[in-house]
Parts: sequence; structure tokens; C-alpha cells
Amino acid sequence: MIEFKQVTKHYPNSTIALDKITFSVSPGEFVFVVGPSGAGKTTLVKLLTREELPTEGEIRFGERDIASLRPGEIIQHRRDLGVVYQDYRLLSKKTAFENVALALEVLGRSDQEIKEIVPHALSLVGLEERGEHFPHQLSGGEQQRLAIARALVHEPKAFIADEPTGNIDPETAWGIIKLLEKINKMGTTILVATHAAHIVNKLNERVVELERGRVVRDQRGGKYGSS
Amino acid sequence: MVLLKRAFRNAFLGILRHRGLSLATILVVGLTFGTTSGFALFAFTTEKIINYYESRALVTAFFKDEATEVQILTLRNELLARPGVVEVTYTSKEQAFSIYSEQFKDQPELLESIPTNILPASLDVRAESLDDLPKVAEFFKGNELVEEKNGVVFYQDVVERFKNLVTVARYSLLSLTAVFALISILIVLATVGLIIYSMEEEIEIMALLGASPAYIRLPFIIQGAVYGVLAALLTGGLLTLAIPIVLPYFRSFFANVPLPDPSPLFQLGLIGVEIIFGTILGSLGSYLAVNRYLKF
Repeated sequence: MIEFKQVTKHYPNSTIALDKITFSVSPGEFVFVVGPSGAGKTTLVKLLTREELPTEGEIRFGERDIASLRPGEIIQHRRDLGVVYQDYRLLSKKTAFENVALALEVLGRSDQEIKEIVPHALSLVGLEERGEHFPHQLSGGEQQRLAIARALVHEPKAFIADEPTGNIDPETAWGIIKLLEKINKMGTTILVATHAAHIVNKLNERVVELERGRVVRDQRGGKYGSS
Repeated sequence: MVLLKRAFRNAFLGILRHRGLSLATILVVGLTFGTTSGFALFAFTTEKIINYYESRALVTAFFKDEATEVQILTLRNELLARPGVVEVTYTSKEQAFSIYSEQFKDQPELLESIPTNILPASLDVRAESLDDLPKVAEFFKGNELVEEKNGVVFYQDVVERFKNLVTVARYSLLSLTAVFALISILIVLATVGLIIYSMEEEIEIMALLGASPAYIRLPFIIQGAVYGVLAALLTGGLLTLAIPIVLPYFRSFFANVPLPDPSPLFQLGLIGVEIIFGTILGSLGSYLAVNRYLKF
């Protein structure tokens, strides 16, 4: 489903964010991408969402070659993804309900559907009482959960998260991961970039480890720090 | 339909939730429109005043004693049929003496010293434009009914100088109005652009969620149009209040010039034009600004 073939990403200040990485993720797979800060995890997410273009190599999502998508195809590609960004990227002038609803509105879903689906998505992440609050009225953890609700509400083909449990207390973080596990069991492909070792170690899923832009380990049933 | 409904809802929510910025934008755009409209009205009034003075210049032809009233009135009709001639006034010998008597009624010795039929009959010709006057003077010259010596009075040099002045005044007003309009357009585009700039992140996030360009653009375009309309209403209201205050000052300076009262229709028309310009500029400003941040 997701395929990186010899992908390199250089930034103009001659930083090499990714260096000839190759790996693939099958449909329905749950993969952790781990590694220290600066390893290239966020760049990898940006390449998948087509925020950035690779300097070299090929990235495929299903049949799509992400780098050569036309504007209309980029829109469709992004609709197929559910993404949780490290900085959440919530709309500050929209309520929690409206932030989640936006992911359905862009798909052209009806107001009636939105009214039914959004409260359910908010309750999945424990924010059922916070629908009318604006992001600045929510704690860091609540904002993160809101971003997760927005990423999941439209039942994307693949869920991609950049540090989705970074600001959440261990108990809530575990709840979120259990939720992702459940969604994964329903067939959604999940790729989580994290350095939350306790979660990676508990789940026993596939681990792709990055270090200075290179894949140094790709292990099924892997642990955070094992080699 | 759903897209449009959501666009309107998001546009109005955006205006309400960015209250401070929205108000500042409406005020800046309104003031810009107000200044430009005020100047355009000033230019329009000045043009009316110039037209009036232009039409006051005249060619006067004095007729020989043997010219009969019928002959002179025939000439008058010929002149009135010529393009550019707006008014031809006939003054008979008797009327001329009567005017003279009225002017010198306090100096009876002047009246007694001349016979009552000494003053010639005349035609005063006013033209639409200063350019038409030399043609009128030419028409009289060589006519056997017109006095040979000083029979045609037309101060060509004065008229030429006035004409030059009028041309300079007209071009200056036209250029200044164009410059004001251009500045106004740029200020409106920049102001609306600034409010969109403050929403750059919002635009980027919507694009990342897979929103179509139309979904992203429409609320901002509507928002820009609403700012334009509100600013135009503000300007229209201010001008409606200002015109009755300013017009009497013009009237007292140019007492002879018949400056018309602005009719309710004129004022509605003015507000209508402001609204059309406001809507176009506001939405265009938004469209251009959103495009700057809408990258795929």
C-alpha cells in the first residue's frame, strides 16, 4: 500500500533528512517508525502527505506515484489519508466539533451525516463534552485527541501520525493506541512515527527504525530499542 | 448547493470570529472609498463649474442700421441650427438703448447727449464649447449686414487662454481621479490581502485535509465581498450626510453656477456604484490573496 523506493530528501541548507530509504507497508499493516529527533520521521510523514517532494526516489500509495500527482489528484490523495501532525494543525477559529466536521465537509458529506458522525468521533477520544470549545480552550492532550478524532472521522484508507501520544498522559495514550489497534483490525493501514518506547514495546508490531535519515532496522514484532 | 451554503456559513462565521480584523478592514476600505468618492464628486462638481464658465464666453455681432429685424432673426435661426451653438440672444436697437439707459440712469447727461437709435442691434452667441466660438466669429465676418469696423466682438486671446486653463484643469482632475482610484484599488487589495494573510495557516490546513480549491476559496471570496459591501454602505452613508453640508459652500463661492441638488436617485446610484465596486474589489482581493497561499 505504501512504498518508499530509494527515497532521498535534501533540504536547501544541505541537510540530508532521508537518505535512500526503502521499505513498504502492506494494506492493513500496523507500523511504528521510531528513531531519535532529527532521524527523518517528520520528513517521511510530509512526503506521504505530499507537503514535500522527494529529491530522489519514488513513493507510492497504492497505484499512485505521490511525487507526480496533479493538483486534483493531490486533493483525492489527502482525502484517503488521516493524518495527525506533530503540531496538531487545528483551526484556531473553529470549535472542536467544526474541526472534526471539516474532514467530512471537504468530502461533501451531508449536514445530517456530520451531526451523527462527529459526536461519535469526539466520544471515541473522550471529548464528547468539549465539542463547542475552541482549540485554545483545550489542554495540549485534548488538542492532540481532537487531531486524532479529525484524522479518523472519515475512515481513511491509511492513518498516519507524527507523535500522536506526545502530550498525552500514559493512560490516555494507551487508550488512543488501543483505539488505533481496533481501527487497524477493521482494515485501516496505520503508520505511527513515535519515540514513545513503552507503547512500541507493548504492542509488539512491526518497527522501522530511522537514524540520520537511514533505515537501520525493519523488524516485525520489534521493540523500541532492540537491534 | 451544499458547497455554497457551507461557504456562506463559513464566511459569516469567519467575519464574526475575526471581529476586530473585520471591523478594521471595513473601516480602512470604507475610508479609502470615501476619500476617492469624495474626490470624484469634487471633480464632477468642478467639471460642472468649468462647463458653466465655458458656456458664458460669447461672440457678439453688431449690425448695421439698415439690417432689418427679420434679416437678423433669420441669421439667428441659421446660427441656432449650427452644431455647438446653444444660445443666440437678439438685442434690438431699442432694447440696447434701454439697457444703456438702465446702466447710466444716475448720469442723465450721458443719456441726453446721444440719440435713442444710436446703439446697434446685436446677436450674442454662446457655444457648447470654446472651440466652437471661432467658427461663429467666422460666420459673421464678411456678412454684409454686420458692421464692418468692430462688428464682431470676440476676445480670441482671452478665450484661448481660458481654453488652455480649462484643458489643464480637466486633465489634472482626470489624472488625479485616476490616481486616487488606483491607490484606492491597491489599498483595498492590500487590506483584504492582509486579513487573508492572517488566515494563511487555516488555508494550508484545509488544503492538507483534502479540501478542494473551491471549498477553500469561496468563503474568503464571500467574506471579501461582504467587507466591500459594508464599506460601501458606510461610505455611501457618510457621503449622503456630507453632500448637503458641503454643497452650500460651493454654491456660495460660485453663486452664478446652477449646481443641481443631488436627487435621492443620484444618491442611491452613488451607493449602488460603491456597492458594485466594493463587491468586485473585496472578492477579487480575497481571490488573489487566497491563491497566493493555496499551494499544491
